[in-house]
Amino acid sequence: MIISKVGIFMKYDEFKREMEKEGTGDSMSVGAGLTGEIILYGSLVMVMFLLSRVFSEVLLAIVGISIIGIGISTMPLIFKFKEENSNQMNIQLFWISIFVGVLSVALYLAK
Amino acid sequence: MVKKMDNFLPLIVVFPLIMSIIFSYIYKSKIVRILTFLMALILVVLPFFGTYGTYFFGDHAIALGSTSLTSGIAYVLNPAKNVMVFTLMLIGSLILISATGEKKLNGIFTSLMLMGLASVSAIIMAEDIFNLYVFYEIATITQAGLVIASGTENAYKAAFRYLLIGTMAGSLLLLGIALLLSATGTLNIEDMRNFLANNSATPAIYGGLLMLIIGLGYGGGLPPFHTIKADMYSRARPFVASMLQTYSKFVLIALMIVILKLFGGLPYFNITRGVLIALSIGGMVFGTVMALLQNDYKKLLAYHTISQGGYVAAGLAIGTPLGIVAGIFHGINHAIYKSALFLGAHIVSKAKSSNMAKLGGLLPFMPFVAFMILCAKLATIGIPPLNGFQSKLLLIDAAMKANIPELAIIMILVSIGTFVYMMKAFYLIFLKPCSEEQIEEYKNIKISKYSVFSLAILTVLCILLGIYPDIVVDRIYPFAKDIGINWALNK
Amino acid sequence: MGVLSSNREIAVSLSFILFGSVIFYSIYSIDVVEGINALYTSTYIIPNYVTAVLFDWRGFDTLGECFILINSVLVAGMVFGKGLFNRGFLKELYRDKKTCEDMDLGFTPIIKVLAIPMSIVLMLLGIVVILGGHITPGGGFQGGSLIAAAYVLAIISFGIRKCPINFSHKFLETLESFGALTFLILGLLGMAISGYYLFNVGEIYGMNPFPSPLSIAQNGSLNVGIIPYLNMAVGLKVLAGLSTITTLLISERIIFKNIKD
Repeated sequence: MIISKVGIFMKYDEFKREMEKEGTGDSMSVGAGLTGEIILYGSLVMVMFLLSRVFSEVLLAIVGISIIGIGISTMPLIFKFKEENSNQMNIQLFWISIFVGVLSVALYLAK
Repeated sequence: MVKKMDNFLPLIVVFPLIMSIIFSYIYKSKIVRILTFLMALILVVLPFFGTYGTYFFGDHAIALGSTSLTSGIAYVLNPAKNVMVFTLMLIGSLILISATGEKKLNGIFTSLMLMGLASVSAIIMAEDIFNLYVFYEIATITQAGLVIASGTENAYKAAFRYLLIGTMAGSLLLLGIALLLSATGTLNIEDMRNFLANNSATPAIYGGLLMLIIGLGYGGGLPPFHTIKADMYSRARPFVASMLQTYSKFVLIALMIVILKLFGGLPYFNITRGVLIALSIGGMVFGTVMALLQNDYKKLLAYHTISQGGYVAAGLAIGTPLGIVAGIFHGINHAIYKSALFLGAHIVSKAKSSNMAKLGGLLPFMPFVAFMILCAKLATIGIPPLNGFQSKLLLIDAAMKANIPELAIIMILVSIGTFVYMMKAFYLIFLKPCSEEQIEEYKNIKISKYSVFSLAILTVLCILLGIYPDIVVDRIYPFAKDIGINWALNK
Repeated sequence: MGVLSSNREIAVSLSFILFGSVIFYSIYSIDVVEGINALYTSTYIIPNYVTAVLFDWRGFDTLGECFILINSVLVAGMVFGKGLFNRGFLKELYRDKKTCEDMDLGFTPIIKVLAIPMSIVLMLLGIVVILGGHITPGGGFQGGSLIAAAYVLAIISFGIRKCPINFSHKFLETLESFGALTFLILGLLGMAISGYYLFNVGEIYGMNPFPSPLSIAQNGSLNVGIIPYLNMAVGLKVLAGLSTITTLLISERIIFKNIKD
């Protein structure tokens, strides 16, 4: 309880409030938002499993999944995610430029 | 000298091009409507003009002398490609039929539609990588034009943004093709494949592969290009958006096939396969999560398109014969049920708006349409006996056989998300109780018969392919066996 | 926000450095394989290799490139209000403007006097380049662009109303459609004669489609087939397409005409 006042844990209280701010606070939309949250975290866990299996690193899985676990209990990822996927040209261009950089590293350096 | 004409394959591309010139010239004339309808009928029979095999333009077949390379431009038609071209033309035809019900139909729109159909079918059939690029560019400009056709400010913005990024991605793709040409000395895909298999990789070849993947991401709407594509789909008129998503789905399949064909069996492809699988997972998850957050029906459908594009890419990226079959089959199914959904959105948006909060209680006014939309929704979720079920089953099977159960679990998770937002949309549009004055408004709705006809045909196809998937799968399988390689993740 | 955006700038610059070095590395280490070019440079179709590749070996690509231009012109027309489903946005933008005036850039008489002879010379040069495309460097694209450039020069110096060289919009559209259709139908002619689209027809019932004097042929065959006609079609299309885009960009009259009905 004390910790929640400090504001590290239990950010999910604000989930509904955050959605109401955007005019989508009805129970259906909140449910859909939470489903999105779970899908996002669930796929992160799965990707972590896959990566640890590909690179044969058990430690990667353990550390990664712990980080994801801490993440899911503290902060909703979905609002940040929505912002990054928004329709602003600068964010789109940012991700495209990061994409070309990462792709060239993946294809050239990590072969 | 005069030989018998036995192969009319070029007509699949050239006939729509000729008609598009004529349509753009007479765009204000009154006969445009009837001509469009006739054209829609012709499009359905057009894919059967070609005979299977390789077609050499200008009779420039395999060169004589020391080299055994193809000297000109070659197109290949096989049962798999024929099914894809037929699906494309059928959807194009149905969209044109529903466009004849529009009040402001004009020749420019029909002309752009035909150009897009011609260019995407050329992309599917082309065995020549530069020819593929040329038609890829035409398809890009056509899509921007089709978005601009709706004439709103947001449509202009979305189309310009799409073209702007397209300039970047298109020129990078061209650079990649140039690098591949310099490194292999040929543009023909089959020859290039032989060269790559028999020679060691050079940096230029890596560069070519890199640029091909960037072009693929842009053409197919994979992340990070997904926001631009989704914006475009949601800004276009819904029935136009159904055509746009069909175009990009087939561009995605065609480019994926090119990459697999050129590099699929090579030792250095493993990391690329990882990148492609990562991109497809990104497409699936990002599309679904964004769709869950939308209130606008058109935007929801737009992001849904992205997530299903991720499924198609995942199947093809796995690269086993089963994966390729599943990917192509899911692409075809997706093109069908997604066109149905967008046509449904077109009919619904006639009622009031596409904002789901303002709609509701439409079921008594269009029960038949609601039923067909429900069918399409169930198909996309993957409920038997509809076509989406068959292809998703194949996809998950392919992921399991390649020993990547994580991918299968992500697919199922994403399907659950799809279920949530599709049912949410259905409830909000058709079932939610609505006020008296809204009911009065609904009484004035005029549903275009043409759109309902197109929707009905697509629904029938959904059910037909769900019960008899072999109609398509049997045709794709030999092709997939040819380009796919058997592998499994052994760790 | 400031920290975030500067972090992002660093990330973007890093990724561009990586991407740029990869492109540079790829291009730097190109080891050109001759491949099919050995055939292109040894087989003598017509005296000009570039045109031979463009219109004979890879004629269908050229057709596609023409269609990129046609498509761009079509879409540019749409941006200015042609054939939209809904003109509300454009009408709102141009609601307050009652008349359209052409821009007068205020050029001095010297420019006006020089522009017309120069553009006439340029046009003639363009025609020569198009007609000699099969034997000299040049061809439809280059010649068409020359003519369009001459037209642009004339209408920039005089304004579209007072310009002595004045093509109407409809005329340009007709020219463009005619050029494109000619290309497509010449391709069909090849199909009718040999069974292959865009076959370079050498003879039609014993007749040479483009008889040329003996002195042109240096060491190749006399028969250039239908390449000159393809060049003309492409030239017409390119000149009309580029000029159409210019007329669209230079006056608001097109928009007024489009949003009126």
